[in-house]
Amino acid sequence: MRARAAVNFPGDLWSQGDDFHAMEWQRAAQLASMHRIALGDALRAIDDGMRAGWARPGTLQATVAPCRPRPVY
Amino acid sequence: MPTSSRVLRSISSALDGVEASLAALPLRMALFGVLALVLVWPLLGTAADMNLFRDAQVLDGYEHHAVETVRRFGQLPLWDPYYCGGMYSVGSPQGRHFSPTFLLSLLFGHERGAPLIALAMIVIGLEGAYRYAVSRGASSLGAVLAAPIFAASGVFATAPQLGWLNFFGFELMPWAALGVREGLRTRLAHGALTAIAFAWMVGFGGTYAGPLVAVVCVFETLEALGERVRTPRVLPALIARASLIALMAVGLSLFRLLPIAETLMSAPRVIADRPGIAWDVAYRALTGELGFRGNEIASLDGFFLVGAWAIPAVLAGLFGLRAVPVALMGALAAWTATGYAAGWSPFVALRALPLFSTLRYPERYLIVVALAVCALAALGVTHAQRLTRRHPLGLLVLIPIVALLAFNLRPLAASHHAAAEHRSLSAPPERIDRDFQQARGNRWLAAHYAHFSRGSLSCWEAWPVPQSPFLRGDLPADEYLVDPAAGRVQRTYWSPNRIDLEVTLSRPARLRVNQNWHGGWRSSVGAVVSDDGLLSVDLPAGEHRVRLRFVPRSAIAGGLGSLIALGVMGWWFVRWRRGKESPGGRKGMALLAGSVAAPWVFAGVAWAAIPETSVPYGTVRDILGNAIVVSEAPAGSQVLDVRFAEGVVLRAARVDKARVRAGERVTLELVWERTGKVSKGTGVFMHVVGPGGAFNLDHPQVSSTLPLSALPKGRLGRDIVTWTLPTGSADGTYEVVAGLWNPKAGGRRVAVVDAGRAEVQEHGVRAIRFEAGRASGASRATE
Repeated sequence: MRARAAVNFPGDLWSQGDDFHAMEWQRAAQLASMHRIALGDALRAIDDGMRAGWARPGTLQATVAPCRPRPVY
Repeated sequence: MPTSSRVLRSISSALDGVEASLAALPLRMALFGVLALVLVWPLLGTAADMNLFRDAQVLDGYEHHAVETVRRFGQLPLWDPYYCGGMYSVGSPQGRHFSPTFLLSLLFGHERGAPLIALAMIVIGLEGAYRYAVSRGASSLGAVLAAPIFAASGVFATAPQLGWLNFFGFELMPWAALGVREGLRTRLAHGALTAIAFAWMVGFGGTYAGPLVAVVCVFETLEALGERVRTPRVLPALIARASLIALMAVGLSLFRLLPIAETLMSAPRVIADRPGIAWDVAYRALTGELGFRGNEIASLDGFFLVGAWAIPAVLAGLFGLRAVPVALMGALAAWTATGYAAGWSPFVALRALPLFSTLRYPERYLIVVALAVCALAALGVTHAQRLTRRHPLGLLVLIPIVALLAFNLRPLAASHHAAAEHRSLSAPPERIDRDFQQARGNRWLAAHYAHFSRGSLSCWEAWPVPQSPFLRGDLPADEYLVDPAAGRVQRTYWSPNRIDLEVTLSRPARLRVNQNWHGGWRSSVGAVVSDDGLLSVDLPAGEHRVRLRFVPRSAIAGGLGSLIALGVMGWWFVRWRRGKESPGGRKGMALLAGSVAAPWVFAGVAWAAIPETSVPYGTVRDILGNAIVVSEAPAGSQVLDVRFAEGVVLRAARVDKARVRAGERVTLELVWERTGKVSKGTGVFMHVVGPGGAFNLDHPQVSSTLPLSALPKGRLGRDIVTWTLPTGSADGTYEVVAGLWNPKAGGRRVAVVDAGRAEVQEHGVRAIRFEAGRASGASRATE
């Protein structure tokens, strides 16, 4: 998802992060529907997992690019 | 058998009875209440649900966070730790929680409060539109029938769907205009309406409502001056009255205006496009039907719906001199709404003003058109009523107009219902009360996180929120020591505006809080500092009970100013109720001047008395945490020394690798020096050109962080752009062509006056070259 975001918004790190989060949203909604849980629970699981180190070290990014709204939409 | 003439006469006299009844407030309010209830009915049926639309997630989130801060912690919502890593809530322009409607959110919760706010604001808007139309000469019947054209227009239908509840601030527009009209023509005391409406709008997050209403008020003032142009001696008094109203409106709004001004000055919003809509698009926006693609609004059609069935009434209203200024206001607003589409419109001129330069969407001036259409339609009914009084056959004009206006409610209501039914809704997340921590979060779903005691670092706003690149969503504790070996930190209390910690240190150390720094944070021990944008405290060795409190200067000074303004207005109101007119002569003028100046004086004194620091640009870092302002160009840079006409020199450029593979990241860097005055809005254009195509990396600020005009003289600004060469890009030599341009000046490139050591073409510097190799080793995606 991050690689796709980098292609979609070359040179704009905030937009890349924002695009990634849009994809993350769709994926979380998909997983929530698949496992019949609330969307909020899926988001909480991402947070819990990130904090508890469920993923392989270095595979999840815990920081975000600071907000820089695009001057042109 | 009664003759047809007698029937017409009896209908005419019945209409006179209706006219008299509608002039009475209770019946009118009952009618307006029922209409508003019909409009928001679908919203009330789903009041407990959460709106999943992206903007609603952010804006409703603000309201939720404010409700939490008041209800759970008993604090004013000054700081919002739940979004973007912490932001100055009062200074964030779009929050709606500094207005009277916040009481509804407090009482019923922000989700259930939302439709009630819509209901209340529509009723207020209907009554405001009614009074405004009457003040322009309309009859009660005409004004009642026409009021929904404005107060139930399309923008108020779409607002709840998009989560733009702050757009209901526009419902106060007729009240603000009415205050100026009456304040300049009858009693100055009516100006209080303008002041209250304006302060309400500003507190309600009226980023567009405030400025647009100011434009309407200026128009009203010019109209009043125009009426008295033949008696020039009264003009100074009128101008003085208008100025008093304006100063009182701004004075009453200081509680919010001061923090917003401070925020936007420290983090200016940059808008580079030249928006506009064609005339036919504007017409369809006012008369078309709202369409949807899925749950998203498909186009502008019907977005500002006033209803085509109102057109006959509007045409009837155009007869007569009274219609001229209203028609002119509507025409000017419609022209302004076209923005840049037809080359020039008043929007282009308004954009030169400081506040208006941050407004992107000209089509929102169609809301002013809706008010003009409303007033004209009301005048149309009034003309038909007069005609009927002169001759019963006038009913043949009046009845169709009235019937069509009544029928116009149908598309208006349908628009409200359609928008409400096209919301993506879900039940709010389960509430989990636990220790607050920052999560990486997701701005598209931002309203979810506070429910489970988390903040979302992922952030979108219309302005560049000052956010530290070092915020983390995976910390074991959100308060920690930079040097963990120096001691330990224990959180003992947490709330949005106050954090208590027990700190034991064997040596002096820096404590970091996983939130953004703001100058309003104060510590009971040590010194609060910005550690690369993170809230931090430098502490001495020893055992400390550290209390961090958020006490922002601009909110205190502004709040004090607004309180004084409110007090002054109350004092004048009491005098007015007791029948005391303003004393004439010097004493009267002194009293008025003192009243208007008092809020500003008190705000100014408070501002001067409360110390607060701001972060100098010298410490600014880019998105990746690199220092932007430096003394020397980084190692490996190629010297260019290209001088631009704007007092800027492109000193050097570099690329972090000479050979880049497709799918791989490359860091491109330009090094700028400001030697003179730089026009605001001057940005950097950067094009990567090669066999794989041309890629646009334009950016308005150095490292997308610092405006060129704010770069300290004598220092260098590192303009770092990280770019990924797309997978599948052809091999060969790629070149970065860069220079300066000003999107606000028609996108013109800034001239190169001395090419220095570089090759320059059409004011573009061929700054960097690199080779693209075979597409094989794309960096592996992790998420």
